[in-house]
Amino acid sequence: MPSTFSGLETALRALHAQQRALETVDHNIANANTEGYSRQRAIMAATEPYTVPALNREDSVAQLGTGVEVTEIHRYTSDYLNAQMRAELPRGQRWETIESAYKQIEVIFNEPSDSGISAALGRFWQSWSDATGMPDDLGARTAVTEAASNLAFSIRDADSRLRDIQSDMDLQVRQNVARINDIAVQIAALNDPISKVQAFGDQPNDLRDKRDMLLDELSKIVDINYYENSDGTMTVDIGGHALVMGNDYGQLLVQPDPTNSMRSKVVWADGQTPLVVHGVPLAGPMSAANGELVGGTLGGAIYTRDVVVNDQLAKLDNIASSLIDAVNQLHAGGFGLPDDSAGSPATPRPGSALAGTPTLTTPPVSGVVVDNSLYPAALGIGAGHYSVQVSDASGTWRFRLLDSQGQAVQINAVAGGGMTDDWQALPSGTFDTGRGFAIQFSGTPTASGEVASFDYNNFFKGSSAHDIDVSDWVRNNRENVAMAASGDAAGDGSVALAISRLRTKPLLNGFPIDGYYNSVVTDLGLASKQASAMVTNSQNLVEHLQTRKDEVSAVNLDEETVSLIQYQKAYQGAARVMTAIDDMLDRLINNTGRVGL
Amino acid sequence: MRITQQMLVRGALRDLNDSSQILAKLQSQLSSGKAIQTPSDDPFGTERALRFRQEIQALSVCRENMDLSKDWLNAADTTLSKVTDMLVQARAIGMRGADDAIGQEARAALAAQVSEMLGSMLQSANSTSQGHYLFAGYKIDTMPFTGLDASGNATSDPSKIVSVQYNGDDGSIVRELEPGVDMQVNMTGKETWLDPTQPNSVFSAMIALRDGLAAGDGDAVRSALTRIDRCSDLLGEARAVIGAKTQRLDLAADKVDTIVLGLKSLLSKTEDTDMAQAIVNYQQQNAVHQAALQVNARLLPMSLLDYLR
Repeated sequence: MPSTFSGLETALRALHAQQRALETVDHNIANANTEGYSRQRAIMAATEPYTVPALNREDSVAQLGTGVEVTEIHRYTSDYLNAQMRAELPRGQRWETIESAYKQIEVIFNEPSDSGISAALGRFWQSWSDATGMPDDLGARTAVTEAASNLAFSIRDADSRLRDIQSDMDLQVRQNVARINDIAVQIAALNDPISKVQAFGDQPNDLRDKRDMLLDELSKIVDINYYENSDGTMTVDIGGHALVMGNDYGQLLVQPDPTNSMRSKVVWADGQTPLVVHGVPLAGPMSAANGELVGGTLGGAIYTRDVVVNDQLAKLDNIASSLIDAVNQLHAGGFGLPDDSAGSPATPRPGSALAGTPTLTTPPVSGVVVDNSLYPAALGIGAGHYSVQVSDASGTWRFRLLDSQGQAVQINAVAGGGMTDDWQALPSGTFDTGRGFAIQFSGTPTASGEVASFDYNNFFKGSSAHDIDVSDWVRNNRENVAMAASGDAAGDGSVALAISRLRTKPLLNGFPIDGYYNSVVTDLGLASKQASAMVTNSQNLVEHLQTRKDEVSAVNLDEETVSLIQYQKAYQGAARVMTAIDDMLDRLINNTGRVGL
Repeated sequence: MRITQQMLVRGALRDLNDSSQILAKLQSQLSSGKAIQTPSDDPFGTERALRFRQEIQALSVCRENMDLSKDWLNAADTTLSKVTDMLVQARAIGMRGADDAIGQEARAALAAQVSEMLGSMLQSANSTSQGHYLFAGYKIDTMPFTGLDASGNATSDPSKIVSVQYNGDDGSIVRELEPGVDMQVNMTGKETWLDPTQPNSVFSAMIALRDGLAAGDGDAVRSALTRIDRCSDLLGEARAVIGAKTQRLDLAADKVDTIVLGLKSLLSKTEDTDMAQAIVNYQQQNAVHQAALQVNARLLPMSLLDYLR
């Protein structure tokens, strides 16, 4: 026979259990809007039944229920969905970073418009074409230098703004690494209490929610691997190198990388080995193929910095250097306006003295500026003004360099003959009547050809997109713009015409410069569009996964309200049972055996 | 499927956001009038738009060059017609002078007239258009013809001129008629009718006529007359060439105008907003957006709590 008071105990347990369940509902409702919160439920189970001890079992039931208890506060979450989410997040975040960079680049190019590089190029060609009709008109010459200066500025500006994006991305790399380190510390700090709570057989639900959120955030930054150990701690690694293990955590460092223009590389603090993601070390310039493999905002930033922006910069450089080369080649062979100040008869300006054959014996051509940064003094040439002297030694053209005092400068002879200030023969083939001739200092040629380095009767100076500009020779003196093909020919605009016709000449991969630029813009548009599509795809997938996670984990207030009523009624019921038993005992104790009293 | 508050809220936000984005895009297309605002809106359209702009610009330059060329040709034609008139006059004088019955006094007077005409021919040959000498080749800033006296010095007195010197060169000034097609617009002093070293040039013929008249040599005058005739023929040919070139310019101008017009409408079709279409799309999207707002306004506040006491 069970105890007389066992019913009271059962009712008490029920009260406790329902109250605990109500508290859980309360917790759910309170966190209905908490990011990363997983709903919880008090799982109830019947307590151990009471087996009635009896000598004979015929007339009595064997087991009596003893009520209810809360065995577990269950947290509703899906590891499967979490894993899927954390595999998709790096992909999506990578594309989001790339997409925003592309959008920025599109703004930089600002096409189609009347103010982009295309319009500036158009005005440049137009100014030359206009000048063809009136080569002696100083206004037309000014228009040429202005249009060129504007074009050069547009190209330089685009170049420098692309480089700004590059340094922004480098900053993002550093910020991302700092955040990874931060998260590693926090996860390790959560591992400790989780393992302790779990050791007691309890459920550290809310701590797990926090840790899951940190893992989500980490996987937005970089691809991670993770698994939970039996003691409840989480081990996280990136590319096989542990980031968090129990209470311990690794840290990453950012260092300037000399193999990648001093941009940031990412290394592990211990051992200083590069961080490797999917087999790709995050050091050195990232190749396009490798860049596809590294996800997250970190991977996106590195890809943008090393691949996307560099690609655009290289294309701009192509445009700038082919423009410089092509225009300078024609210009260096042309003649400026006749110099009437020298009196009659008008003489050709010195700018073209190297171009025609007989004039080569004329006095040295001055104004050759040697840039010391390009040609170190070690090569025998210091910075400053030099002149080139040329002479015809019975059919063989010779040259030597004179310094500003007219002294011959020691130069390294052709084919390693040592330093000498003697005349140097111009080997046949190096002498080009169209361009004068070229002297190349060993080791440091410039991309746009050797004559450019002299800044000598050149229209453009510089060699690439970051330093293209109108040469001082032309900028300071509009008369020096070479439009004529021969000296003393004010009405001759044939060089100007030839330059304006570069517009349709296939100079770049079989494209004219304009056409090449058009294809650059088209490719940019396509790439940007593709990036947007990838972002949309990924966002849809993340959205879908998030919806499925919500389906499992999120709080539904109606559902909680129903639970509230459910547990409340159960509580009321248990209290009523307790009252009934109380009544019963009252009857038994106080009113039994009082017949006739 | 379990539906939760978060799902409803997130879904509502996402849909409203998507719809707002479409509205914003349509709005900026409508207000800017440009369908393509960044290359990614329509990469190939962007390429076409850039190409059309470049072509239009290249053609407009040619069009401007044509106007300049026409000025130049017209100026040359005016000069040539003046010279032609003078040659006709000179011929009449020569005819009278060729008559041996006429006295030496009268011939001397005729010679003086021819001298004056030689002077104005020299002036015509040195005529300019916008400050540029028309017949100097590339040396448009150099006076191309100077009269020389017997001792080889420059003189401005036409009666003393025994020969004429050409200071220009044979540079042919070339302008672009349309991209890739050139046309020479100038005439140089090396043309047969103008070149002082040629026997049939205006200068040689006129000097011969004057000298014949002054010397009273009827044969010389008659031979000078045939030279003037020959010169008139050459001049006529030159004028015909100018006429043909002017005509070619007009035709080319018409052609360029038509092409530019076509390109402009193509450009507009490519990069400008189709207003009617965009407005309809905007209205449609607006309706969708409002419906979404209304549905969300009703759906989101629904709760069991409203029905419980």
